[in-house]
Amino acid sequence: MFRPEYFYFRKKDTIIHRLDPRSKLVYVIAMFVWALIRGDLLFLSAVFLLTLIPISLGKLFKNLLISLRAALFFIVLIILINYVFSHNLSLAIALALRFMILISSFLIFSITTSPDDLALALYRMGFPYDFVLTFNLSVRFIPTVMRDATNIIDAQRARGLETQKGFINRIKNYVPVLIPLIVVGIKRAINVAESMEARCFGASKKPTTLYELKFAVKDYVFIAFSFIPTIFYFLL
Amino acid sequence: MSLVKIINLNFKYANTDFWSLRNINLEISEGEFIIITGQSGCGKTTLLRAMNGLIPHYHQGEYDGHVILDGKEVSKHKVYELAKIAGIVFQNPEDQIFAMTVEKEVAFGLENLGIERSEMRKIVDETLQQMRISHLRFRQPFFLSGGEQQKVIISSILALKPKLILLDEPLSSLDPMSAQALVEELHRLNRQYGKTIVIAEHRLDLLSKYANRMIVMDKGQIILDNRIEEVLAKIDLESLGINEPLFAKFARFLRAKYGLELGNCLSIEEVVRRFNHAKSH
Ligand SMILES: Nc1ncnc2c1ncn2[C@@H]1O[C@H](COP(=O)(O)OP(=O)(O)OP(=O)(O)O)[C@@H](O)[C@H]1O
Ligand SMILES: [Mg+2]
Repeated sequence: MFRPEYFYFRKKDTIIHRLDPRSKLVYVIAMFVWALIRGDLLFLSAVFLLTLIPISLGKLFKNLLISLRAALFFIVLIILINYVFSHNLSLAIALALRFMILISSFLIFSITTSPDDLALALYRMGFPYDFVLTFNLSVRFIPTVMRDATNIIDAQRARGLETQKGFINRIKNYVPVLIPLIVVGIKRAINVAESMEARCFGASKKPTTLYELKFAVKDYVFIAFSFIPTIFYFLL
Repeated sequence: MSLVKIINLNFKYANTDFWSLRNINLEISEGEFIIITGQSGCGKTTLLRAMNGLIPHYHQGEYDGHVILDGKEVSKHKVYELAKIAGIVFQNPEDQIFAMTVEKEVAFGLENLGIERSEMRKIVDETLQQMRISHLRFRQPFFLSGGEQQKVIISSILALKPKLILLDEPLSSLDPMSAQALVEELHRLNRQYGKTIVIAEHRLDLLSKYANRMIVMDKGQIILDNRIEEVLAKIDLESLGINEPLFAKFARFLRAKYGLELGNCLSIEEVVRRFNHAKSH
């Protein structure tokens, strides 16, 4: 059965969830830089362990495990390939850690940030309203499209479509799913646009917002936290 | 002055070769509660769209005639100006949900209009109270039940303070209990807040009690437009392909079988009472 709540941002009340999206954005960018700036095992292990602090504050351990399990194939691949080419096990593991840092820090950002807060942050950074709203809507409609897809797959299965056997067959069999899905999607888009018009979309050049983003002390602390690896950089 | 005045309106959607509205003449006064009914494809949705300017602005086509909404010629005003007078609730709730929380959903139109934040807060508060959904304020609308979603969408329309609320088959996706609750809510908006309600609907049994007028359409034309009691008492809706309310069918049966004049009834209780009364005389 289709359960959109497993795939979708859900509101939770932890300090990480309450951070301003902009400070989380700074954090992710900083972590990406740290992950790429050096390639040695010690430094990257320290940075990875550091990402576990916001993970635990945000109650995200389970999510991290699920994500790492999903990425396990690539992690193993990175280790194998690098080992084969460099014969250096610690380098191979370091590169896998680099990948895990990217996963872990991006998880902190993506799972705890409400899409509309992120959209608001983008709006305040000067992105055009239309762009921001498009972003917002595309996130909002993910579960709807997934539900449409499930319904279409069920309907086509009832008419004898097989979706299980063999890789090539599976791809071939998804055509009868994809085409109706696109048609349904376009119909939906037309309806959505119509009801947006009916709710005054486009009336003002400068739409207002119900909430304003505010930097709090915790945000400055979090940004400072993003720079802790500077210490590792010089000490390790 | 009537709230809506339609004069000789004909409309043909682009890419079709038939008229979806034909020779429509209609006047609606403030405070009315009107049901528009008719077979699938008869033009109910199209007529609603014409009332708030989505036709001819969003749906283009051949447009001939006049629609005057609260003194404004619809074809000469922007959809967002008209939306402040006539709000529309479409058939599929999911296509009308844009926000991640109920309160932001309700604020959506106000944001678009550039309403100042403190004012917006006030209106959102009021509207949530008006629809009695303050407790849902921080919920994600996507995960609410159909009936709750419908209320959220109506709130998002009410926030714009329209005089007229148009609803396109709002009951079709609801179970009987939620449908009943929604109908009562609409009745309250009509009575307590003086909102004019126009509702396109097949499910007449729930609504008949509250409406003052019924419009029956067929192939793009208005074929009946009268007080609802008159329509239900005099016309065999079944023969027009419309699901007649049970009480109306029952009354018709009693009239035919016993030759009694039952007058105008709008519920099964009323039919029974009048029948007993007529029989004892
Ligand atoms: N966007 C459109 N483009 C072209 N034709 C349309 C469009 N919308 C409706 N029509 C056509 O106009 C006619 C009237 O449709 P409309 O949707 O108004 O009927 P309806 O009474 O609301 O039907 P239903 O009960 O099925 O909702 C139909 O023949 C329909 O196919
Ligand atoms: Mg319709």
